[in-house]
Amino acid sequence: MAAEPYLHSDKAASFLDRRLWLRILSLAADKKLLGFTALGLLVVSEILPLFQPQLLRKMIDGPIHDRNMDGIFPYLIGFGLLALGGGALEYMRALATQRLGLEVIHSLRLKLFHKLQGFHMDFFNRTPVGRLMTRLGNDVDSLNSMFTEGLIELAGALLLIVYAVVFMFILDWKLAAASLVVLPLMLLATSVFRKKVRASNVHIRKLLAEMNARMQESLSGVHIVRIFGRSRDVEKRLDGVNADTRDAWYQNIRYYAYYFPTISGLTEISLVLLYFTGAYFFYRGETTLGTLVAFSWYTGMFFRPLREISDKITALQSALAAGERVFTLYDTEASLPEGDRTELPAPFRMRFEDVRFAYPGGPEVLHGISFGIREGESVAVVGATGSGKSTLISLASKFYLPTGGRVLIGDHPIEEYSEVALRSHMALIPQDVHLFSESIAFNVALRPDFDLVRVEEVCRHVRAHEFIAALPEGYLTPLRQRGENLSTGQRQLLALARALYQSPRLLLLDEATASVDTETEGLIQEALGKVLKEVTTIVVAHRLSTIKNADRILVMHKGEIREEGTHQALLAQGGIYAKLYQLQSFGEI
Amino acid sequence: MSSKKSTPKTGLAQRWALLKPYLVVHRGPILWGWAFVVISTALDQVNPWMIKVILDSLGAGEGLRPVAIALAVILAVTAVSGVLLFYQRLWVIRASREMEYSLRRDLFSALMAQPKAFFDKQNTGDLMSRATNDLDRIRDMVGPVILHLARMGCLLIFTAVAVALLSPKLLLTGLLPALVMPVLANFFLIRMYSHFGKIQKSLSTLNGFVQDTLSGIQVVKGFGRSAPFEEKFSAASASLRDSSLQIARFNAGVWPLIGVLGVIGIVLSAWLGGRMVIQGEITLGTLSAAILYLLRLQFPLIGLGWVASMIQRGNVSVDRLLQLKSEFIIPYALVPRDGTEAEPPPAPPADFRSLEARGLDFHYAGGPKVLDDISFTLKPGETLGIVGATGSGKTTLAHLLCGLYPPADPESLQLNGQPRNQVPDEVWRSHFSYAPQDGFLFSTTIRENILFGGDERPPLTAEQAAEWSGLARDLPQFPNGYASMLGEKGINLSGGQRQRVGLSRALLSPAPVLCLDDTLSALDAETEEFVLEHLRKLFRERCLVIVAHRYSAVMHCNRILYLDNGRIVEQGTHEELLRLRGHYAGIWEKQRLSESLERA
Repeated sequence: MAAEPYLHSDKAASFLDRRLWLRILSLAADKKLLGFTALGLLVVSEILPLFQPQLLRKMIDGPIHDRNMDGIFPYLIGFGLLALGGGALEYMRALATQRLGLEVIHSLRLKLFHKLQGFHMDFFNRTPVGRLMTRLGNDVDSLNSMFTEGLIELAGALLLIVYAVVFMFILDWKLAAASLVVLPLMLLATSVFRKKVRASNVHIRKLLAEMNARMQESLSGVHIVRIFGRSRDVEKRLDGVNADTRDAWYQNIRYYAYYFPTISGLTEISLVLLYFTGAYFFYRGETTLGTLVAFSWYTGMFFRPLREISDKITALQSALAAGERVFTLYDTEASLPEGDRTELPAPFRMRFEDVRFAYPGGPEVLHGISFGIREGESVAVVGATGSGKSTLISLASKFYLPTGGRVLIGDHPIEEYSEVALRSHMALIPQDVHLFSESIAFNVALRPDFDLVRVEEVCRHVRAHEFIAALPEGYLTPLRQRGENLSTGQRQLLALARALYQSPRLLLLDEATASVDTETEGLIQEALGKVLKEVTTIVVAHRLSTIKNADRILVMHKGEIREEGTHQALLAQGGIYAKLYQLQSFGEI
Repeated sequence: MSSKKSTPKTGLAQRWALLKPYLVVHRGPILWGWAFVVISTALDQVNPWMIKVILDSLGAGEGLRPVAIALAVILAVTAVSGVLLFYQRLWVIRASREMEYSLRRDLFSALMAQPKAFFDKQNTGDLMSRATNDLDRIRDMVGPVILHLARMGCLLIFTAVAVALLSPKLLLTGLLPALVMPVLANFFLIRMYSHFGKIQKSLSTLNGFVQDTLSGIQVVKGFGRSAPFEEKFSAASASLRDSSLQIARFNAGVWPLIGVLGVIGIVLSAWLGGRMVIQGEITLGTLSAAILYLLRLQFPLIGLGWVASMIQRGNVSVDRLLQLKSEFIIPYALVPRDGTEAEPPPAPPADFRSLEARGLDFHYAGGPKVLDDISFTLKPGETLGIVGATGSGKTTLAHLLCGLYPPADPESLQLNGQPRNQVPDEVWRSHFSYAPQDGFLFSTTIRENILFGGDERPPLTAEQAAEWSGLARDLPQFPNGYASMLGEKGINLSGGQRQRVGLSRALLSPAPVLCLDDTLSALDAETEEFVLEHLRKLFRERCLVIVAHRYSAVMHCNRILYLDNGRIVEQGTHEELLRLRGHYAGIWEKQRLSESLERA
């Protein structure tokens, strides 16, 4: 487990981790214009509402005080303009931030997906697909909410508070001082509340994870529970953690129940302080009624941003954790060394020279394999399960590099070849035919811009055309659920067609062991026979007919090549191959 | 799959019937909480009124005394309303958590009571999402959402009353635009939901594509096709971005619009109110109080859209629970239990005399026949081997014996001469213990997993069971011995180790019949022999049913059944079957040969 750092990232993301923040912000580096536009709009749009109480004050102390009916109008127009302008700016701001977030995660997703494409097979064999899906899905989305809601809204809320304080002090510093006495208390309450809720949330998340795990395993192992008559115990166990979760929530609810009355109480207290001092100064002629009314408006402005800050910070916390996980995956070095050779030698030849191989952290499975293959040849590899046949195919396709010895293509080690270029001259058919939930034509060509004429040509060649033509939409029939609607034999024919579409210089084939109905079996044999004659092929063979058709047979045993030769020669030798041949079936054991 | 089915429309009555018993239990706190909502929102109206009093007294120059009195009233009201605010949240939201807890507990019990056939149809992820996400949404609906709705309703009414008392004309100008807000918000929300559908679709296309690509990564890489796949991914991602942008446009527009509307109400009031003040119809204090009242309404009204969408979500979740409930094979009433009901009496010790199958047939719901005319008798001290190709019905037969599925004809499977349907499920199952091929372990310690099989009965302890199953050989590999945790945060066992933990668990059960479902497949020949030898000793007076791929596991059985397509095509002892020179003999020969090859 220690060898798989990318699987574990329980590291708690720290809120003060500057490196992480910078990295997240750097995602928006090529969207600077959009980012600064959003920020600029924010700075302006948050300030506009602050002028409304000012206007009201001037209206009260001006025309209303002077009983000047016509004087009211300009103020009303001012109000209207402020509201419309504020609304318009707010609209543009929201649009800019949303766009920013969406653009950022779109390009992040592409980068991650690209990065994943370069990872070696060992990574994919060890990492559950579900985990990668979560990284590309939920975690990237969390980062989106960080840009759209988190950062900007948080900045907006902070700005609003700062603006309000500034406006109040400019308007009347004495009244401002009196009514803002409670502001530090509000901030303190918010900070205490946030800390408590955060601790409680961590606790709750743990309990929830445990509860879900327990439910999940009880439900999927329900028959075991049933047979051992343990339903009641399992129910009690769940009840325990279910009740713990509920109780943990009680604590959480209590925090919220304290927080809201506290903040609204403090708001009212600031109102009391305002009017108490306000009345005093009013009688001394140092303040006006309009100012008092404006102040009452201002004091009400703190509640919402404070609440938003406490909400957003909690959300940011989980977004940071998601960011941490995404970056851990992004920083994973799981690619094989990439070469720059793109042209294969003509005529094609490949040689294994004393190749040894061990999977990372595992024992050696190939102990000094040497053999060669030339243009036009077909080599069959046979042997018992676990003898190292499939590993050999993986090495020939550069999915792994040998841990000892060399794999040469022409005169150059396989490391020197570019992975994509190399493989675009090869075709690999693994044992389980993987079909994509796309059209048949896409599955044959493995690209959206397929050449339908060529697709049909190769399908006719392997005799797959008949069943495809019988499908409702022919070659454009979409495969449901990765081809569940096709039989095993049909899937294998498609895999062969796929290989031929590629016009490969080297075909690597791990023959499937699953039995198919006799009719398709015949079709497959016929198609395979043709292919073996036409294309340079290394085939891990299970079917006798495939083996017989091969130019040469390698008999693998416990990671070594024990025998090599044609079918007849090996039979005459009376060794392992002869015994295997007696068993008739090479794969079903 | 059930999740793909569109949720049937259910009426309010059905939804209420599901939630009612869980809410009635907590009616005290809920009703008190709501009463407090009414009182506290009414009290909230006092403060702006006091501001009017203050401003009027200041305008009239009545000195500080009336100001002090008004401020004292504000403080008193704030204190009382704070307490009420505290308790309404505490009580109502607590009750919703309480409901969530009981509903989850009962739902889980209901699920655990369902037969295996139910789980064959359901996907665990889907069940989980009902027991988690859906319950969360229902809880939010009956807790915070309804609380918010109640507060808003009261606030609207009381504010309207207060403003009307100040000046009926101001009520009209101030509240009219405010009343348009919810209508407008709803209009936008409906538009938004249609776009949400599009987003959901793009999202699932994208996810499906990623999953598809990553599962077939060997093909993508093997053909050097990363570039076209990345292009396709980019297109899918861009389409998600674009449909999200459409929502973003709505989102960006709707909130500022609501804000503008609110301000228009205030502007209209300021205009009308200003004129009235100048004409001496109302005082400046009245106008200011009216504006403060209107300001206080703004924020809660914006929340109306949120409330509407949360209620919508909650309703869908209630419907999903109702749908799940309708799919229960064993009906289970969802009513809160107080947890004091008596434990059922323990099943009497199993008394095993015979197990007989007579022309046993079986098919899964809607599927073809899986077992066809199976007959055999098993008596204490006997061992039965079951072999056959993959898909020949071996595991199904083991599941039927263990009581996980009922046979088509109850008379065709009899325990001690009693047909299957006349023996209660718990009694039937108490006769069997089972060791599955893949272990099916729980994420707790190895020891706990073994103890899951039954209580220790010295000298048969968990350690002893582990010894006999051959697990003890791997003990040095476990960091904390048998106390090592399994699963996500613990050690991961190999397939063979999992099998042996499962076998140790089965050994601890006192049941008279033990079914091994290809439990020994991952063991090497020597360990297999070691385990089998102990099993034969242990089960001298009990019964073993061994399902196996490797014939060395069954060769010593009293009788071996060779299944093909759910039918017994050969049966007898190992020697008899060899003499028959049929399928069994052929495969035996191959296995023996390949074993000698492996040793070569």
